[in-house]
Amino acid sequence: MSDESNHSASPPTASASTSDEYQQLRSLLVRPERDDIDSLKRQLDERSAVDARSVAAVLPAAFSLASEQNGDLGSAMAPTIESALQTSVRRNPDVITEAIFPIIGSAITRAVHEALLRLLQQTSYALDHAFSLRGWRWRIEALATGKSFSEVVLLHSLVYRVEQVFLIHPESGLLLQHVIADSVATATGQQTQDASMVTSMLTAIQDFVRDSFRVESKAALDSVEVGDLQVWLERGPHAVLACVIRGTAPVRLRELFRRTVELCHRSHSEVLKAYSGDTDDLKGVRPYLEACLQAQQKTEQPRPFAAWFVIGVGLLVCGYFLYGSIVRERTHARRLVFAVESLRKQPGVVLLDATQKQGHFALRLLRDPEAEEVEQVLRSAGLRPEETESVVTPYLAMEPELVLRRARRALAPPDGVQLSFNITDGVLMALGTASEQWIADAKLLVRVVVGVRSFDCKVKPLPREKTLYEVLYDRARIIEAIDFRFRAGSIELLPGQESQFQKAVTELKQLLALADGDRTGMNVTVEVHAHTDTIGDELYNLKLRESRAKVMSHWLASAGIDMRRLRPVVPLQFEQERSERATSFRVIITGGINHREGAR
Amino acid sequence: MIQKKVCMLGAFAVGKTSLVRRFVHSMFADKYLTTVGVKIDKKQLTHSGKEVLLLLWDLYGEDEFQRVQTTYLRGSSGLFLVADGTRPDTVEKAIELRDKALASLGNVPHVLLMNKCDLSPQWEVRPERLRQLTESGWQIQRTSAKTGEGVEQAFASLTEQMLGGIPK
Repeated sequence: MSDESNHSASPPTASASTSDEYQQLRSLLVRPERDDIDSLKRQLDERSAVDARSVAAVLPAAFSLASEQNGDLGSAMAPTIESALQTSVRRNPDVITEAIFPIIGSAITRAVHEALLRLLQQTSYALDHAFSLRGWRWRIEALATGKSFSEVVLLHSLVYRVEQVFLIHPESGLLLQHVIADSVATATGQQTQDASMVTSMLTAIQDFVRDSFRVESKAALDSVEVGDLQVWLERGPHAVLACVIRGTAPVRLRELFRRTVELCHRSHSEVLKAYSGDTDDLKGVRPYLEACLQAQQKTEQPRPFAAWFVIGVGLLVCGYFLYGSIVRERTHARRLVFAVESLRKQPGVVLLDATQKQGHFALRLLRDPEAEEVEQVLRSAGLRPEETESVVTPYLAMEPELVLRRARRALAPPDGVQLSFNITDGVLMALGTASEQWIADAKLLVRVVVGVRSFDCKVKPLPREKTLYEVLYDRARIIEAIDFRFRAGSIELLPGQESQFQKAVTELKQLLALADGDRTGMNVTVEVHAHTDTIGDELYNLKLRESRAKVMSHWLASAGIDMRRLRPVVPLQFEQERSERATSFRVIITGGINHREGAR
Repeated sequence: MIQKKVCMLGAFAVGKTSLVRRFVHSMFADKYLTTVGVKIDKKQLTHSGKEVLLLLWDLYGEDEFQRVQTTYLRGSSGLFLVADGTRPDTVEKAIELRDKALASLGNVPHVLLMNKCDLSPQWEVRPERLRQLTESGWQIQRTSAKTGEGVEQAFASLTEQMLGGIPK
């Protein structure tokens, strides 16, 4: 049992010692590797930090090295830098603003300077070519070719210009990308889609030439020349650059084209290697192609003096028109001010506001009906009626002139009357002479004149004129005073009454003429009363009276008095006012304004 | 926009040029065919909502005096082989040209255009021959330069085959 236990105890002791030795041996053998593993493990744990540190240490040197070798670094970083700038501006525009502020001023100055220089140069060219014999020749060329004159001038002024750049798939001749100079695009209106046929045909012609002359398959055309146009071809393994050049291009352009082909291959190598036909995949090469659109102008001796002269004349003309427009504007404004002043001085006119809009004046005013017409005032101030647009509201003014005008219109004073008005006490005074009727009317009418508080009427009344009735009445009295004496018992007048009869005829004619005047409305009848004495038989006397009345009427009618106006009257004896052998007249006036029957 | 180069091959006087004249946009005159041996037209169409521009290389017809210049075939994505239904030998010529083209291009999509279908009664190409060809994998389209029949379908069919391989 114990053996068993000893036996069982001894081997572990031996085994433990063996294990230790083994561990020692193992440690001796693999320690270096183990240390390496531990170190690597630590490095793995701190990998990100270590990477950042190690990259940071080599980054500047790496950037310098990459920049020296080629332009790839710039191309690669451009999108990141653009995106960073956009983010920065979005987040806080002030940072970028402050950063570029010191250079903004000089940049603007330089831009202005270059613009002026360009203007000067263009003017010189235009001057040189506009009127010269050469200029006329170019004009004819422009007409013949359908190009614009400026385009022809430009073409002749160019040493060379790269007009179009094609990037072509070499095998299929498919157009990968195409750029065209702005001026050429405008002049020809050429479309990109036609360019695809052009590149195919160009490729076909290259194949044709190669096959026709049995040159080796890798050999290819370097350039094609037609007139003053050249096509320079620059080949890469997966793309061909074809540049259409007008004029004589310098050889250094070849270098630019070669670099461009290389750049295209570097930046889009995968797409070019397996081109699927999708043009969108190669949009990124456009900036490289655009950089090839170069041009150089002939350096002709410009004539700055002539250019300065033309620019100077141009400036003078501009100045003249500018001055003219300023003067017109000022005159316009001055006329408005003058018109406003004139209106303000007008009694009975209140200017509420005056504005100038779209070349005419808008006025708002109050005006007393007795004041001057607004149009008249404006015309006197030099404004035409079509230049103004007035809105006039009537009102009653209290200025003494206006009150006086109002009073004059209401009272209509005759020539002999002067009116005056005292604003202080509001008294309207009238002096002079006028009819009683006017004086009476004026006293009533003055009460409705606004502004007049009392009426001081010192007008002397004129003697009253007789009315027609009164005139007729006076004449009737003269006629009625005339009578004619007859012999006793006879119709024969006593002698010596001829002049009396003539007077009676004259008076009667005048009376009737007055009464018969236009629209008098007066009607005059002359009664011829006959009288007798009371001696003898009354019947005889009655007949005698009748005869005397008729004979007198007859005599008067014979002398020219209208018989219809005469009425013989034969009174009975008791009716007789007089007992004389006579005839007398009684004038009866009827009608008219002052209708009154009879003279007495 | 997707661009594809398509070559049009056939025996002499099978009507290649006339067949597409009304359906394409040209900027080069027919004289290029006899001088350079090729004339280029373009055909614009839409496939699955995407604009497709086919650059159609019309190669001068092959006869006993002139061979088709195989260099013009380089980079082609598809072929039109044109034959005249009234001339059986033109079908055989089309087969020969196809074999020659595929030998340099690899297996590209192609359609056999059996032209002059407006003259069907006078056709000498037997229907059995056409059936044979169809069974051996040929895509055949009957066309007429006179009526324009089948031409648009031919363009659509070849475009479909060519773009089939492009991942969408």
